[in-house]
Amino acid sequence: MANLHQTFIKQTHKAGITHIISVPDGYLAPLIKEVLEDKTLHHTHAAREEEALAIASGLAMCGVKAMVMMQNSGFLNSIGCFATLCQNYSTPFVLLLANRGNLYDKNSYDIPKIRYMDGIIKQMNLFAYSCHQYQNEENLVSLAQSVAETVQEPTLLLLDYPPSHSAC
Amino acid sequence: MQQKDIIKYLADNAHQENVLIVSEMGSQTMWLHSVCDHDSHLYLSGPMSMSPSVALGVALANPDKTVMVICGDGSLTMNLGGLTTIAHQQPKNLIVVVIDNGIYELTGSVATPSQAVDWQKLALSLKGFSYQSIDTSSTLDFSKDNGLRLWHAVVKPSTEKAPSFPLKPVFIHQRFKDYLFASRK
Repeated sequence: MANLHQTFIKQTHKAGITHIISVPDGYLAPLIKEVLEDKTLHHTHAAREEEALAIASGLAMCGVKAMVMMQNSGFLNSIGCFATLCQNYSTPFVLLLANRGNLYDKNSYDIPKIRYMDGIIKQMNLFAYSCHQYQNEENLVSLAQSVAETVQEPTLLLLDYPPSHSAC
Repeated sequence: MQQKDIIKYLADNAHQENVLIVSEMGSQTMWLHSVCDHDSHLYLSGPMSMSPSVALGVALANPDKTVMVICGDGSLTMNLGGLTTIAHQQPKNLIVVVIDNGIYELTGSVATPSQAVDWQKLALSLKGFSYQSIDTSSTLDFSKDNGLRLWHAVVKPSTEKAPSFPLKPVFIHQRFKDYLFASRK
């Protein structure tokens, strides 16, 4: 029986995404490990988050579908890149963010992240959707990719920290 | 030799070999556009330092073509981690050019910290990279499968102001993509 991560990867294939670029987060790590197991997906370990956005933008400007995985704090570090590259050059891809800092998150240093993430989403009018709100949607990744292509900029999928997860 | 001279030499030679060119925002983009505009150019206008990372994406998407990214010493110093990511990926079709004038040309010619960098030692410390010091008489190997290359051009600061750059990002993106699709037919 497929686990949640395998289901997500199946959706990724279904969306036509061939390249994954990631900077790990404790919550994303199991998914990234599944990606590494899948030899039909090209994976790039980016040294930092801004790079991941730039690599995905390079791929997108060549017509290749990519997904970026990172923590919300890494995204917050990369706002300049998001605005002047991803938005200015209209590069569509899916951006999966571990949205750290909710009530279930036990790490005190993660708590402020969600406040600023929520603020940035509103201020920049980003196309951001909660994975948990759409957790039964079998075409979530395809829908996110479709939105990205329609609006010609990255679509954010927010992966909220679940109550059962131990802090990492 | 100034920045304009080496960029013209690189572009003239690259076009003969159908090389895709990514240029760093600022003076590299401005000089490249002024010496020779071409549909195969992906001019960047932000954020500073991300051109090698964008070029990595372009190289991964186009393994059948050589990709050359033209950076300044100041911008490449900002993204040394990007070279690590590139070295880890090992695309055989990517050439990173660092044009080393020791200053931020568009920012009041303030000195860069890159004078503390030995580019040859840095390149050779990164897995798979070769190093070549280049000028306007160098023989350039643009073959698509000859491994990662760091080309280092030491230049004098420009004596003339970099020309203005008129193209808009969305136009650059679409033109570049159209060129790629046409070249694949």
